[in-house]
Amino acid sequence: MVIQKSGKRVFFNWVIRIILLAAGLVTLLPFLYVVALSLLSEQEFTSRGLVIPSRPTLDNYVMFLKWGTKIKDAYGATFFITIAGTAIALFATALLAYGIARQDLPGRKLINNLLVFTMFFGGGMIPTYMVIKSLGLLNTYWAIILPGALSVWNTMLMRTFFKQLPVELEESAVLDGASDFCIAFKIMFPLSKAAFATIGLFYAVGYWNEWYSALLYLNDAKMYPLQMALRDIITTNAAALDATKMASGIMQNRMPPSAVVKMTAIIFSVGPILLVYPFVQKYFVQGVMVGSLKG
Amino acid sequence: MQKPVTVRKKSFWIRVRRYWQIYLMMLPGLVLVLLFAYLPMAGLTMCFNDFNPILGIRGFWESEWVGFKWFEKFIDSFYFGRIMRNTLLINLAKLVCGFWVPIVFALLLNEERNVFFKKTVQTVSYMPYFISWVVTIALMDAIFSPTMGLVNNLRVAKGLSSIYFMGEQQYFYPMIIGSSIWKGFGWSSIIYLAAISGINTDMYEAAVIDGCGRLKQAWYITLPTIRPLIVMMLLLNIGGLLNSDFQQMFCYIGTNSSLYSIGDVIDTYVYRVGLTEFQLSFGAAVGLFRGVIALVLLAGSNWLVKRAGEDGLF
Repeated sequence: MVIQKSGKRVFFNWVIRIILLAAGLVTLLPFLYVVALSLLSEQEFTSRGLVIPSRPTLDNYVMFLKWGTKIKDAYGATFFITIAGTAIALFATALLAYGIARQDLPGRKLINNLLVFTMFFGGGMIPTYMVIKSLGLLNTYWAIILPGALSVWNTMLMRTFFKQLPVELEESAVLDGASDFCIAFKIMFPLSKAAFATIGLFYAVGYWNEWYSALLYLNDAKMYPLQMALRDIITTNAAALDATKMASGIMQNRMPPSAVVKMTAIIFSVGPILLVYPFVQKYFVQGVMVGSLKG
Repeated sequence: MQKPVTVRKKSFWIRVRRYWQIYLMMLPGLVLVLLFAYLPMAGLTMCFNDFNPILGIRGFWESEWVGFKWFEKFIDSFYFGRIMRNTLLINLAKLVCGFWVPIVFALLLNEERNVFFKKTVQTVSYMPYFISWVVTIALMDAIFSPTMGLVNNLRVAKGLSSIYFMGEQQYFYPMIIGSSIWKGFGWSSIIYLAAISGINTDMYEAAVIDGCGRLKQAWYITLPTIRPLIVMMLLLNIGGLLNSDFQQMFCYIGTNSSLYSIGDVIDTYVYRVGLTEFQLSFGAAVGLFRGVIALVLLAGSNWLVKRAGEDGLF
């Protein structure tokens, strides 16, 4: 009886483990495949069916970088948007979150409700576009940075972080005659480094991946950030190419020459995120955990 | 004991003055919210007038009023049925096929005893959440493309013909739903996992003594305990039934006109009429139509849930 039960348990464990392994592999597979393709030489790629490169080469990477100023400009734009955006967003978010975390602040409820309401209703694409146009932000990077600089969700996360700090800290600082500025910048913020790291990372990833605002608010293709530039290379072209290849029936034996370069383009756009991701993912998870405690 | 009483008696404005530094600190954030959330909301007046872009922001109020003209135009238009149907069907399909996946994933992770393996699977599964839709669709293309895709390579190696998975209507739903799940299941599981790990282990011990296996433990203890969270997530999802994922649809469909008839959703339509055809008021009205229905859906399902005796969202 006992033996039978433990046998069943072992079996059950393996079923679970296999499902989890499958989930992990399905998630990882596209990335691995793209990396493998990007390391293929053009010739090897044309002999189809090969997934693991026999002689890995970095040719595609070199070729991709030689593509001229477009990619360099796109990287520059994305770095500017990510760095400036994250700094501004973190500043505005932390200060606002600190305010609504103060239980004693008059009007705290009202401000809180104003923020929460925007999570369920908004002006929508067109009125927002008109506002940004009227503010003279069209065709500037501020049109990408500023509208994204105050995520209400992140503000609520940050507020929860601040609320977890002991109130006594504040109270004793008030008794010592510290000003509110002093309490925020010298006591509360230095104690919330983990919160700043978490929220800062959320913003940084958001700005890095941003292309929607660029699509709407930038007319000049020369200004495109990375994701938009890559969208031109990898999605639109791929679909159009495939369609024509399919139609003309030549795709069976001849590949579009830029296919492996496209794979390299994908790697260039996700590479920086995936490189830092394993080291910072615990902060992301922490952020969600804190958020779920609130509810 | 005297002091708090006098503090409370102070007038509202004196208390406000005492906190001026905090208000000053909140100002940048509040300005951003007012400019980019509330000003566009005020701009929804353009749904009821014939917005004149030359007037700039004043056009929100000073254009010629036309009442519900744009809403009528939308409801009477050929596109109304099509995009409403597409939006609802796509989101319902995503909800039915995808909602339970993170819950099951969290339950499975919770059963895994090997900490290293568990952490590795978790870390990998969160990854797609951090890449953009542009890249996600590009990855799909790498897997499913007829010319270089892994799937078609395997098909050809087996002597089958290539299929243009991302271009044909019959594969549209599996592709859209699959990519949504792929991108989000790991990340969404975190919140369930957090709730599960907070469950008191005494209950499981009692259940084991009563002879419950692990399936029964999951069914009779874990799921009922996290039910409020599941209900809340479901509510949020229902509120988002009309919030089709613009980024996903826009990247997926691209210039492939053969997918318009089943893939055209409210958001892509708003973008098209509003910002490429510059029918600004009309586009805004379609957007407002969606926003209001979404709000009604959310409030309605919240009311239903509360009537059924669960905790609502508000």
